[in-house]
Amino acid sequence: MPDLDILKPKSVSEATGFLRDLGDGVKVLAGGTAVVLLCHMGLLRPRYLLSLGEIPGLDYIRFEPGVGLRIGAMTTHRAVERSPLVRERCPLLAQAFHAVANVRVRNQATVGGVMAEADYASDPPCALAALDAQVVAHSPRGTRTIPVTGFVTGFYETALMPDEIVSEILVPDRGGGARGAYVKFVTRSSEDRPCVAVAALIEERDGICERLGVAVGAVAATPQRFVHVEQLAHGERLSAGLVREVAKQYAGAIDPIDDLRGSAWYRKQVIEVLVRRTIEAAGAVP
Amino acid sequence: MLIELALNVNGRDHKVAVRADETLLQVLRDRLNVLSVREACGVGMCGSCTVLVEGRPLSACLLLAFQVEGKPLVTVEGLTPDGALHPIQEAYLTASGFQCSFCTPGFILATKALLGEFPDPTDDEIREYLAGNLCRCGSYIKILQAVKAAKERS
Amino acid sequence: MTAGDRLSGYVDGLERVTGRVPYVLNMSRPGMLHAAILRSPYPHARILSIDPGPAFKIPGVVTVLTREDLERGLVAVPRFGSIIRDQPIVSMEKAHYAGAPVAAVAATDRETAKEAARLIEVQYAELPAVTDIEAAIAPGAPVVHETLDIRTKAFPDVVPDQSSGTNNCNHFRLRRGDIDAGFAESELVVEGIYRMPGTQHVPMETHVVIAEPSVNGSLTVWAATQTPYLVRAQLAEIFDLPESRVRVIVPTLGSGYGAKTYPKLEALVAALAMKAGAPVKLVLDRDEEFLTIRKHDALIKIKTGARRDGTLLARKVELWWDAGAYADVSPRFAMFGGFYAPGPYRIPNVMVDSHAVYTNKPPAGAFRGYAAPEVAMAYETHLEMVAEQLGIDPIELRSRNILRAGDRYATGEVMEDLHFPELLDDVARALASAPERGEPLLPHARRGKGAAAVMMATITPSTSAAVIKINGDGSVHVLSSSVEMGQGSRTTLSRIAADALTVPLDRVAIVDPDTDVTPFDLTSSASRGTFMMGCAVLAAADDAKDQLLGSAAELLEAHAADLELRDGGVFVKKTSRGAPFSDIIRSVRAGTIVGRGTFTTKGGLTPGTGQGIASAQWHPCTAGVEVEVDTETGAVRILKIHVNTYAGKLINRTSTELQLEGAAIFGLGAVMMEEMVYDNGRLLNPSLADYMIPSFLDVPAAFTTTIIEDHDEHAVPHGLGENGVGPIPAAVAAAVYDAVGVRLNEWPLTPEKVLRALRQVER
Repeated sequence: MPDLDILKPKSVSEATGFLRDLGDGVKVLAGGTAVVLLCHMGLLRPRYLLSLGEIPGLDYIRFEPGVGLRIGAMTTHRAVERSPLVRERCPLLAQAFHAVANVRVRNQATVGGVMAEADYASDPPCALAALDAQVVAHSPRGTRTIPVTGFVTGFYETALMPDEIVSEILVPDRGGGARGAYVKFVTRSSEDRPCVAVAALIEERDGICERLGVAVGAVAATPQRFVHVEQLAHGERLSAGLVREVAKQYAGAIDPIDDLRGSAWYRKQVIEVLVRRTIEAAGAVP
Repeated sequence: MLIELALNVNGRDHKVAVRADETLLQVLRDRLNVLSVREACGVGMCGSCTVLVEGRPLSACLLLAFQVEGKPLVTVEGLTPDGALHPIQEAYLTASGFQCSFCTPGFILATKALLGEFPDPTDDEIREYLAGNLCRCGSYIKILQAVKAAKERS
Repeated sequence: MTAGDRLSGYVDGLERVTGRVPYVLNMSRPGMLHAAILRSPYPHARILSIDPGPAFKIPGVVTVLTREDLERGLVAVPRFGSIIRDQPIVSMEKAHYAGAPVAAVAATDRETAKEAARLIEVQYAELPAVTDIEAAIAPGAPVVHETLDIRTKAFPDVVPDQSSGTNNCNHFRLRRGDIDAGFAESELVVEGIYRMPGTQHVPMETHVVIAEPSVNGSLTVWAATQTPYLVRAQLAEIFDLPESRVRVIVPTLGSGYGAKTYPKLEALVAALAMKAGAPVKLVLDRDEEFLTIRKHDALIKIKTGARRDGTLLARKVELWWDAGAYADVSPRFAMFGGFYAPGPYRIPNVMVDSHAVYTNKPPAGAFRGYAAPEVAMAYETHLEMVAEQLGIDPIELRSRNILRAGDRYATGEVMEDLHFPELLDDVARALASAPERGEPLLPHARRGKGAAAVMMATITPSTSAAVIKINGDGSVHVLSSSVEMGQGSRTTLSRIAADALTVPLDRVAIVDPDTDVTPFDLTSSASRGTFMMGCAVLAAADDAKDQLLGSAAELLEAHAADLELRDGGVFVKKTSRGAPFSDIIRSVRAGTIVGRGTFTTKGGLTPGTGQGIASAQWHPCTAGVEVEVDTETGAVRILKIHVNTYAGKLINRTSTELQLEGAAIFGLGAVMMEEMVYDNGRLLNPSLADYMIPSFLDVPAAFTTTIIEDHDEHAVPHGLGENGVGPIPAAVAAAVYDAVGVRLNEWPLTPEKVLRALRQVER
């Protein structure tokens, strides 16, 4: 690749300044697992790579009571999956990050990067959608917060403006009563990308469901959440029948894709089974 | 245009001039003659290009060389300071945890990382950690034996 | 002996765990250039024009190879192929598949060569393509090759039978008994159609070639090839050189599995090197590997007739193998698939027609298992169906019909050394015990068990030769063209030589394949190395021994007949009077003792009837599998695998186990997850992110093997590198049927296929 320059900003504002000034020819490099691959395959030929690796203060996991988990954009998947804080406060998130690829990729890929890449088969965006997480984005024009549920707008497309980078992910504090599960269903090797993946989060009090969050990933361009279906469970006991109904409605509401891992028809069948099983698994968490 | 990088590989400092788009794998093999690191898939799936950077296993095919500048990087050539066999290498030898051996250095480094993070893994934990290293020859059963033997030794 | 040597059962173990295995990949030559290939994007197209000019705009580009060079005398023969000369070095008038090499660039580095290749301008006129078997055999189908240049004397065992003007590449026939009478007498007839997709070997090391021309016109090639002698012969023909001026060197391979057999890219790299006047190295990227060689898609139609008591009476099988754009070794592959098709059973009336068919897809060739897994899927499923309809246990039914020593096979040859009853008993016992993990069964899960049996052949007739040099100090060199590719041939052959010459293992060194030095071997494939080359090494050791005894007679004042080898020396039998090899060699001023041995096998099948001797040795293998099927998703989980085989004289238990386990895992990949997927002839998944091979977690914890060995002093090693592949897919299919009552006849057995079948049954 001729004429590739690496830019190494030392701050977020320097980084977004580059994005504003250099426009189309810049590609942001976080961990690099996607970008380096695409460059090597000749599918991406940027003029500049904007490496975020030297910006201090983007690699952190903090918990603020009343606010939630704050995870810096350059935090690796592995750090999230192994973090005692994440495992305690949001085990569903640790599970979803653990499900990604293999340990080498997880040591390199970042929280900000996986959101910005918007790969339809990625595990973390699905879990973050179920968790009502938020993406914090910086640009020279300031900071804004984008709900994860609206963040991915299409295949490999996000709501990010060209001069914005992700600086943080925020997972709201549920007060410790939430239980979640992430289930990834593969149809070939254990190392395959998912055919269907489901994240489910239940908040219950005295056996009554106060909030149900369910997101289905790998079946469409964006993680699939249907709040009107989730609301069927609000204020009810999560009986087997109710869970089946939620699962059935999710399967009915989704128009899945066809790919090497399964046809649209097959995905529909599995969505129904997996949504049910994931809610049951979440409910079974002690 | 070439950029100058300071790389620390197997305990030695190197100054290399590389193109900005060179992967760590290319730099290690083509410029530094580290031949235990191999390309078999180019997409981070197989583990034949595993390197340990600050003790963490990474795919050299997915890293641009500058991303590891200044960070200690280890391959099987540098497992021991004097070139003697590391207990993990001895374990793989005794168990014959290999056939064509193209993937073997990757497995050995992954084993080192595994035992560093989990000194007493169960068989299932071993399999899960190493699931990202592919062996087409299918030596998994003896690789498991090798890892368990290495676990006992350390 | 180093500490490493002491620890390892392998003579080269140390280099394996230190990352120092000398793959051709690691080599470079002074002044070496790097190659990149421009490939056709169309599955079938006339090439109107090629303009390499733009490529030279990039600094560092030295030369470009196109058909123009082939037409202008760079080569004597522009096409190659071990059986049918149909593969152009680079495409000539047509591109025959999407991925076919159209031009090649040599430049100072690989990235430059690749970039330059992209700039070469090629004009194509697309032609209608045939991209599957049915399309290729339909009347009036577009023809991949209008005429075929067949070598009638290619190999003694293969005589291609094809009709020009069609896509027929070979038609193998086997006829035994009276098929119509057989079915007429049958009280039960089952029929079935089975389909398997193309798969790829996925050797971790892709194809690598370095070609270096010398100023006097000779050619040296270092190649990742399993067949150095066949490559040399092909290069000699292409460049009109005597074989004494073509040298092929193979240090070792990062696996092969058949992908690296027969000439592949050596001629292209050599032609590029000749034109550039410099050494040229080509290393395939992973996606290119998929486009270079693969395993055939298969379509099998089978009909079996039996009596009520379970005796198999008749079997009619039609098989089609999608050979892709070039024949490669497909005529032999179709022959093997044809004579494997009856299965290891006594069946008096057999009719087999096995066709290799050209399509506009990447060429298909040798692949570990060599058609046995595919045909086993068909014939073992049939055996299961017969067993079910007759109410007989399938393993019991196998035992009743399976070939025993002294029986004649469908080819008419008398079978020896099969050991099936013992193997079937062993697998039945293994299946009877529960898997290690006694997890409770979830409500939607069903468990099932299945078994299968196969019998593998080896290329017959064939030849292997070896030379043994005993050096002045009594140490030994073994010169053999057997290629070490992880099966442990260096170790095995070293042990054979060491034992025969009574010399410690660490005093024996293998000289790796070098056609200038190591004598002829047909191929390192077909599970023949330990047997064929082992016997050649023994013969060479015998020859060396005779010379040693003869030379020692004077020194020891005894008759050669009273002498024996012991402890690296020659001794008078039953005495301690003797001398080490070094003294004997010095006493006759021999310098070196050179022993040579050639081992050949006889056989072959009559064209038209397939009667004769298909294999000098048959290799039996059975497998048992337990599965758990999730009836809500169709997902199949493998709980347990047991695979067994007969090894004959066992030289190296560890490498034998590794080969058996590894082969079974190959079979697992084929039945569970592997499939090359195309869109109108364009391969969609040439990447390990999209083409799945088994990982650690895909292999069950409960995985056991049994190896039956023969301790008799006259026992002979039996080939087994491929054995484990064959029975696995059929055993998994049988286990799935046992679990949920659906018979699947297509690979891979994806959850979707299982679920669709389950839903069909529910209706």
